[in-house]
Amino acid sequence: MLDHVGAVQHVVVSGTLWLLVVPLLLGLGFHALSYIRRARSGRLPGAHTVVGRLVGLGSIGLVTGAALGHMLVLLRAPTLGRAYWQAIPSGIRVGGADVCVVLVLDWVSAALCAFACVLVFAVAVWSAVRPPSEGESKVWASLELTLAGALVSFLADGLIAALIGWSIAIAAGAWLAGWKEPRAGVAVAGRGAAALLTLAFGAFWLFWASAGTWDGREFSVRQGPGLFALPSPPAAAGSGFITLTHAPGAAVYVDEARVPIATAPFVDVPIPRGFHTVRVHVGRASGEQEGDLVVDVNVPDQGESFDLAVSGPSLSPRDLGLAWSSERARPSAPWTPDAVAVTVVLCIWVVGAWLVSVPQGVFETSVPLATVAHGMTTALVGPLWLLRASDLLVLAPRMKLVLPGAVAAILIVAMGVVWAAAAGRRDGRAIVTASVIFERVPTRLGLLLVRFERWVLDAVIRVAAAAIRVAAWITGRFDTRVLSKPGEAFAASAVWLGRCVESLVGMSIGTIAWAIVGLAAAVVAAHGFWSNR
Amino acid sequence: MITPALRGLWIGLVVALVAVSASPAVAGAPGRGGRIALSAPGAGRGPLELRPGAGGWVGEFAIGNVGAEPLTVSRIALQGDADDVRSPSRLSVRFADGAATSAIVAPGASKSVVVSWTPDKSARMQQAFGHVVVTSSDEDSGEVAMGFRAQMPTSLGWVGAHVLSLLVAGPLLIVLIVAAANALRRADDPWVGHVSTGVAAIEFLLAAWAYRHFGVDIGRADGNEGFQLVERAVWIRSIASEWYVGVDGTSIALLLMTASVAFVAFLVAGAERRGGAYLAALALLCAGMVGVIVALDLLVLFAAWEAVWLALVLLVGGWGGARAQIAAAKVAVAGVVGSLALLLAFTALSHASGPTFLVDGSLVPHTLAVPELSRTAFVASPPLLGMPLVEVAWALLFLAVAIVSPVVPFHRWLPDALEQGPGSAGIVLGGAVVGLGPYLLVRVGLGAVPEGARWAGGAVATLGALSAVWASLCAMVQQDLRRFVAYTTVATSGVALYGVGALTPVGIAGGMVALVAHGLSAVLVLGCAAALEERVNTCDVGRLGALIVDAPTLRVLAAVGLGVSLGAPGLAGSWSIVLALLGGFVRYPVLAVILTFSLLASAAAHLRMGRLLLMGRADPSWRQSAQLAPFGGRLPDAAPHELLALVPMAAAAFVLGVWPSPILASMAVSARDCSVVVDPDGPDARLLRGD
Repeated sequence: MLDHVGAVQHVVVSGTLWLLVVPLLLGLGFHALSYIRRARSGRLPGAHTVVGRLVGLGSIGLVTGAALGHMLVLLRAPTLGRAYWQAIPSGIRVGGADVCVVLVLDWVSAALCAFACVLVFAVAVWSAVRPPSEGESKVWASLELTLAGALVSFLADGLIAALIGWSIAIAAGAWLAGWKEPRAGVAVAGRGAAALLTLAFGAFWLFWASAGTWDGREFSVRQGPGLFALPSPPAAAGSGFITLTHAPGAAVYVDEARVPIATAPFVDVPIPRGFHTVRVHVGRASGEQEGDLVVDVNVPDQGESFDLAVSGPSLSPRDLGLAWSSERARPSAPWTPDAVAVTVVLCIWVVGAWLVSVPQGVFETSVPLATVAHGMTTALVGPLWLLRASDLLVLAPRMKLVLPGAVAAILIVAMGVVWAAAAGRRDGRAIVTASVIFERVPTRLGLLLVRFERWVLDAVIRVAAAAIRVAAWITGRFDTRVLSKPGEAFAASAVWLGRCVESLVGMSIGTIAWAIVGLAAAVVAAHGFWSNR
Repeated sequence: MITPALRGLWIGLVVALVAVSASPAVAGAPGRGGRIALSAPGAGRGPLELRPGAGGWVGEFAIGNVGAEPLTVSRIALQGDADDVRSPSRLSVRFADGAATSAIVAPGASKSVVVSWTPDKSARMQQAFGHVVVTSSDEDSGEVAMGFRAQMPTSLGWVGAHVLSLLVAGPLLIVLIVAAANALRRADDPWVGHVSTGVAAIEFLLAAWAYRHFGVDIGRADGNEGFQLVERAVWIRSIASEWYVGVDGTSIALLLMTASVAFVAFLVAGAERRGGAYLAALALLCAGMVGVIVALDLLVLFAAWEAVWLALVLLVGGWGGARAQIAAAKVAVAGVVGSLALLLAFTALSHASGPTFLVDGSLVPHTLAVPELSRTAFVASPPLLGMPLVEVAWALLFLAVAIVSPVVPFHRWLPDALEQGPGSAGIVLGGAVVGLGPYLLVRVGLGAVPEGARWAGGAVATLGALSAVWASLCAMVQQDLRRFVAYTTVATSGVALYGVGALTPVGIAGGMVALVAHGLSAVLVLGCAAALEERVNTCDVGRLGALIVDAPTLRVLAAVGLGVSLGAPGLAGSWSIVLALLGGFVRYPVLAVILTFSLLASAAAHLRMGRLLLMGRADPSWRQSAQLAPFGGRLPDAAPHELLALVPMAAAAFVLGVWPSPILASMAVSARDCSVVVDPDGPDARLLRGD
């Protein structure tokens, strides 16, 4: 069990991961405001300004510095498994779900962040030394948006942050694709929406599948949240400490105390020596003890630290993988409900990763380098999610071949398409010419997959889109011409009746209504006062 | 158009109907032995006001014997126990002379009883409401009670202690101002508009104070039924009606949103240079909405509900477009049907309820208070029309909800009302009024009739999901921006109903968040629509093209509004989709698939509208049009009042997108309480309990 929660133990609560994102958002805000201000004053919006260039370069440079700095800190860490972890808002637990944006910087995400930062920074430097051009601020904004999307996606620990990261990346792609032709941007955004829905749907399925099974229409709970206390060497000899880097916002009580000793996440909070009952109240609620997680700890005289680990249903594949690894026996049958759920969800996620990572329609832009930067960073977003989800393979061993294959395919195709874009070609065949990067076999595979996507996946998507359009047209017609008829008839009668009343009374309906309201209010108020005397 | 006239009569009718169903307050015939009479100092009848003293809050009332023989008081106790928490903790009651909980009172004499509340220094509960129940040898009177209340001082003093009443009364003040101005024949003077906007601003500040003052981690187990900022006084004793208002986690965010929407609407109305009558109707609408949100008494709720519909009919019919009368008539028909259903449901529920105490301690045979209704076992009630009462009442209640939400096929009044109605009224209608439906379902449907919610949960979720699909498809073919918002509103309501119908804490919270997020998106998009309507007299995107490109601020605001409405992650609207789908998935996975499909269609509809409205170039013919000629052929960008109204909404949409604590923290506790009452053995509850 210790091995499986090792990653939890090595998570270090960080207060600085936000530095990898916020400068970009500030830069983006500056460029947006500058664009609006220039447009309002009738000047050419998005034109080159020295300040705009400085802000763009500065924000990307700051983030690059921050990413490399974090990477250095990570490099100096004593153990390779260490990761920095930050929950952006204080945690909220709704029902059984932790709802907050959680970022984690481990080795994988640090490497990808550094790659994205260096790449985008290089493009930014190149853009900064170019002669001024029309629409330059839009280029800076697109670079900032691209990098922000990539970084949030790479740092995401769980569904909520991943959704946000993917959305930003998709928005950047849609913007670039729709730079000249809005329809192309809409197509990219629509594809992205489908990717987001697959991501969310899979996460919801896994959340409940990790808690129980559906037996017909009923859901039977099999596994609720649990709490473990894992001993480790004390931070100071002779003292006891507890650490909880999970369940942000959870209040932790020791023994009969009514006031929490700390609120998660926290590290090395001292507790007295001796035997204690630690109670974790997940979520912010009214002090009820029902549903609290309890574990006993014993701090010996020489002192000891305890890492508290909360397990149970989660929206994070990493947490789910840990919980499944530590709490359940490996399935003897290949198609247990858990295994089926994991397999199906992984398949759904493969589709989602494909949709988000393989660029499409981003070629007709006047900013090829920004497009390349976006394509190369976004290409990694989907595979990284699948990599994170590989923690779940413990329950779906048959996916062990499928998942790496999918990751490789997505990477090959995405990079191939990006290379084609860089080469200025609008055809997937450009991949063939890119033999510098892709040798013959992978290139042909990439081309095959591109064609498969074009002729099969795209065709399916287009048929589905056409079907939706037809359904929308029919529904809209039915709504207007059939459903509305009774209401229209009633309304016409009511209007006629109202006119009769107006001519009969000699007052407008509005006047009559106000008079009745006033009278009713007076009667009710008077009755209220009268009856209480 | 006769229906608006009839509407006012509903208020009187409900009083009459409920009066028929309720008997007068208990008055036992004189018998032998001592006769008990409780009296509070000064007020006589009660409730007893606890005042600061003795390290807490203390109050005394007297148990008198007005009979000819000694009266034996066998027990004095606080109403409620560990399984039925009613009052906050650390309350105690004892005889003033130190006697235990029993005593003998001589004829003509009285004994004082001390009620004390000693909250912690860091007390989370700022109020205490409850009853001291007295059991005596006076068998004719049976158990009698003295109500009590304590109120800690607030930073706003008296205003803070009555903030919810003031929030209801604030807009009504505008009505009175307009009436006074009308009497002076100055109702259409500009100062009336300025004063109205000022009152709306104060209203918003009060709502913001209430939100700030609200304790997010207080639940039902903390007492006062889980409500805060409670005000409770007997209103119409004969029918057991009280002015009973309060907020919990599901309503506080909605209250702030409603006050914000009202402020925006008054700002826009001021720019539209509306006259006094319009402002009065708008104020009535806002007062009604706030009333519905804070009401904990069915009669208060119904009266507020009627005010909402009446004001809508007046606004749409009186100041709408070319087909305004038809649109108003549709609103009226929908309102009458919904109101009738609601009235019948409320009457049936009240009639089936058992005896209870009013706030002053008076015993009444039936109740109209929502928290008291939740203690009634409606399943044991005799059937109505051959069907279980709880099912009939719940079906009627849901009909009213389905009409206002609106749910397909009762939705047709909304597109017409939004398209034909004036811009500022449309903002309130699309941003806040439609949210009252799902809210009513949670407040009364789940809060007062949990058995009915269990019975109908599946149907609610199914209707919600199908409604979302239908509306998303319809939204794809809309040309008018306001009609588009109407259909997205129906879709959002569908998502909310799906979440609420799941009866899980996550689903309920998702449903409620949907209402708040939709308020933000509707205000942004409808605010831009009102701006377009004011400048070029159309919201038809087919005619407009991407004219809004001329106005970069409006363009950005509309884009943010569409993003929130779509539920784009990182914006406020995403939480509703995430939570509703997550909460509903465990119960209705097939419906979750259907809802996911509807979200895809919704995304397509939003992207299409975004492309038509925000991208590309404007039709060159606009440059020579009469509307834009005064502005040099370009669409003017957002005016200062539009910036003031819409920019904070856009900022809130971004902030809440990544930091949902302000809306979710309070909702999480209330949604959990709600779910526990409705479905104590639901999957989420069992999961939390670990069984």
